[in-house]
Amino acid sequence: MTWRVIVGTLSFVLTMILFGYVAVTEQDRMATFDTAYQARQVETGGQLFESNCATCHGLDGKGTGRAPALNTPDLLAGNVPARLKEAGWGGTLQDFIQSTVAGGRPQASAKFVDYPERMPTWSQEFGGPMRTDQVDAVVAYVLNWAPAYANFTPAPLPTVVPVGIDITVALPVGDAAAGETAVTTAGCTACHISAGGAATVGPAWLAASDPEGVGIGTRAGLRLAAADYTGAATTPAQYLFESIVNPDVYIVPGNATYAANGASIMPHTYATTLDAQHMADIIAYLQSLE
Amino acid sequence: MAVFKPHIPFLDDVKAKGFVPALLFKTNEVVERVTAGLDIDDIRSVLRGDPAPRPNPRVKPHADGFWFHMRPTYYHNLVTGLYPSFRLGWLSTYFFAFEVITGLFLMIYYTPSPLVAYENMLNILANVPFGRLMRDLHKLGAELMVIVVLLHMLRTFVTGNYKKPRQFTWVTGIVLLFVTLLLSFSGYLLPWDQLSLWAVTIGVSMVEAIPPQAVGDMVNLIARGGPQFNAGGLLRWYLLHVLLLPLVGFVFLGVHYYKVIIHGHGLPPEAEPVGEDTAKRVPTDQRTYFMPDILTRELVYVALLTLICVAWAIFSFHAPLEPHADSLITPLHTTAPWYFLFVQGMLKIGDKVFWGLVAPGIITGLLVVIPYIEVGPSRRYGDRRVGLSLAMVFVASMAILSYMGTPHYLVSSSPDQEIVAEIIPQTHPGPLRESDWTQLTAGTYHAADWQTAPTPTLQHLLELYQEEVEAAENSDRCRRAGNCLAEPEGQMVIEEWQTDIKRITFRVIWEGGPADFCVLGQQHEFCQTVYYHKNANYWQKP
Repeated sequence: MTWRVIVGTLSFVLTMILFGYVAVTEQDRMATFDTAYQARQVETGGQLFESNCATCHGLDGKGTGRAPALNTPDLLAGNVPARLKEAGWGGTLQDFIQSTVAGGRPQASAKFVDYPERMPTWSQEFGGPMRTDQVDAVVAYVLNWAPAYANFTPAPLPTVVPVGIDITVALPVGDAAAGETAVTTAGCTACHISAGGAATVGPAWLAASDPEGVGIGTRAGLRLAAADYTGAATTPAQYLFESIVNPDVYIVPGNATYAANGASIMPHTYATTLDAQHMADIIAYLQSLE
Repeated sequence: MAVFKPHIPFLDDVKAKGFVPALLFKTNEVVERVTAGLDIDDIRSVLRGDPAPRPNPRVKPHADGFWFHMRPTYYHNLVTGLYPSFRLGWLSTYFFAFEVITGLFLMIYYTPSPLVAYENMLNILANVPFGRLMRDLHKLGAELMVIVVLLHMLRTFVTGNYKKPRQFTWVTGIVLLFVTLLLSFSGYLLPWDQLSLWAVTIGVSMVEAIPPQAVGDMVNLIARGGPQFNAGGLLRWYLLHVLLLPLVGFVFLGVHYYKVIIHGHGLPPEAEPVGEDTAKRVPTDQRTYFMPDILTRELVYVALLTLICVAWAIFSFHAPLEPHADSLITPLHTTAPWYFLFVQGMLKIGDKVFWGLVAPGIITGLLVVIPYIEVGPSRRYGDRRVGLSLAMVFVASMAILSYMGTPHYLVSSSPDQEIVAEIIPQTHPGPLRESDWTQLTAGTYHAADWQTAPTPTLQHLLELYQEEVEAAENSDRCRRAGNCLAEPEGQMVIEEWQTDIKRITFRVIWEGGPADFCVLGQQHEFCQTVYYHKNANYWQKP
């Protein structure tokens, strides 16, 4: 009897002490869980981004020819990132990304109007495939690129004198090596040279991936001479110039994916974003791909 | 004349005896009412360990009170210790109450809707003080309750206590066993994580096989609440869990207890003549009164068990929480809860209708009718060699069938996926996610060259990887399934991906593999990518 009273009382007291221990440590435990959960949310977001978003935005978030970059100071640096200012967005960055992912962008912002597709709706709330927590996870993942831009100071804007769409202007002497860098910066390679060499969206540049086995430099001349050519170019260099700044003038027949609704799917922005030197470099580079 | 004249007898007492004696008298009276018959002196005498006076006031609560009327007034001296009952019945009841209390706590923070159920779990874990403890205790209690109830049944069989006159007590016990199993099983669904959805989907898919098909379809629809498990199904299982099953359990617990009062606690088989039941004829000198002996024993068991459960739940046992339920992703190696693994094992033997429905039905039916068909008069072990042997065979076959229900037995998923699933399993964190983040140096590694990896963690992971790769090339398991890989090779690529996050790709190739690295749709290659965050803290559990 005595030992029963002692063991029973002792057990009860110890249980209460354990509860007290939990009460004291609970705040820390909950905070740890919160941190861990947020970390796991980013992991989940990464998986979702890879299987749903990377096709257009790129696995590294640097953008492709089909959708703009997300892993960029434009979107992630500063108190009010540049893109939020452009959109006149009054909310936070998180709201901005979240509403874009959840509801999609049926209408593109002015800057990205030339991308071939619109951002689809992702949240189940608006008819998309993702649950709310999945949308949140994707947002957390995109925002997790931001710390890399914490100390970002925007470079002074270069004064670009746009090259314009007049293909007869005299261009400076081009440098093929500089052109090779320029095509990557301008995003051309996303559609014209994929990782394996074959073009995925636009006509292939490299001879190895062209069905006829000729590079874009040689092909420019052949196209110019084609019977159905509708453009105004008179030299291969002008043909390339024209294709870049005014892609609708002549769309190479035979591949339905090159055009949508009668217009080329190639972005129409290059006349305003490239200057004469860049254009000359790019043309020089392209002509070197025989 | 006053219309209403207040009369407080206590004041009369104060007038007659003085304040302090009147207060003591009144207190004593209140105590006696609360305990249904014991006043302060009686309680003190109980606590001092005095022998019971005559007439014994300690039997009064059994006659007058609600709680004690369910317990016998005295036990035979031979059944007061651990043997022969091991107190498993009492512990089952204890866990029933334990689950009700912890369950009520969880209920406050839970909404049975697929939209918020999982978020509720996160809230319980992240924002509710004592939330994780209560969830862990509820889960731990549920597992222990199943074990205790099963052992209670086994004990009853072994000591022959199902025999006349206790046949019906056994039958109510079977009902309580099923209530316990279903309670535990229905609780699985509620967190709405992957484990919930798929464990219950497996269970419910069984009823789909009920012939004729129209009936199977109908029952399936009722159990799922729609063609797919969703809001309707979750609400149904929730109501089953918190309302119907506890109610049935409560009613049958009452019947079960009442039968114990009627028939008394069976004596050890060797203690009474063959064919007689002397439990109700306890000689005066053989009696141990419930108050205080049995009561204090039971309270000690309960206090100790509570201490063990609380300590266990705080320091080591944590209820799992998998990713959010997703009906489009079936995790590799989903299993039923352990107590239903035997059904999953039987399903691997053959026909779904026979092994999934008829066989469990026969087992249940046999359990129910045992006391009515096994009517041998003797409860002694020596006289029941056949019965006890059969029971041992039954327990052993259940264990074997349960093993067969695990993924270790005869699951012929592709071996390349098995390799990766060992390191990044889909049903629990697994070795990679529980390893030290800082030691996962970026680079490309080959499992075969594990010894040259730069850190001990990587060496360990790659060694594990290599073991699995070798098993996929040559092991009993893959030979049996006939899907061994020719010259398999394991690669692992770790990339610094974002701030505090690494992207880890596992690539298994065989027969030389394709030229390109992890491009979708290539032959002889399996790739799986996982992201791992510095703060994910998987070893800390949910």
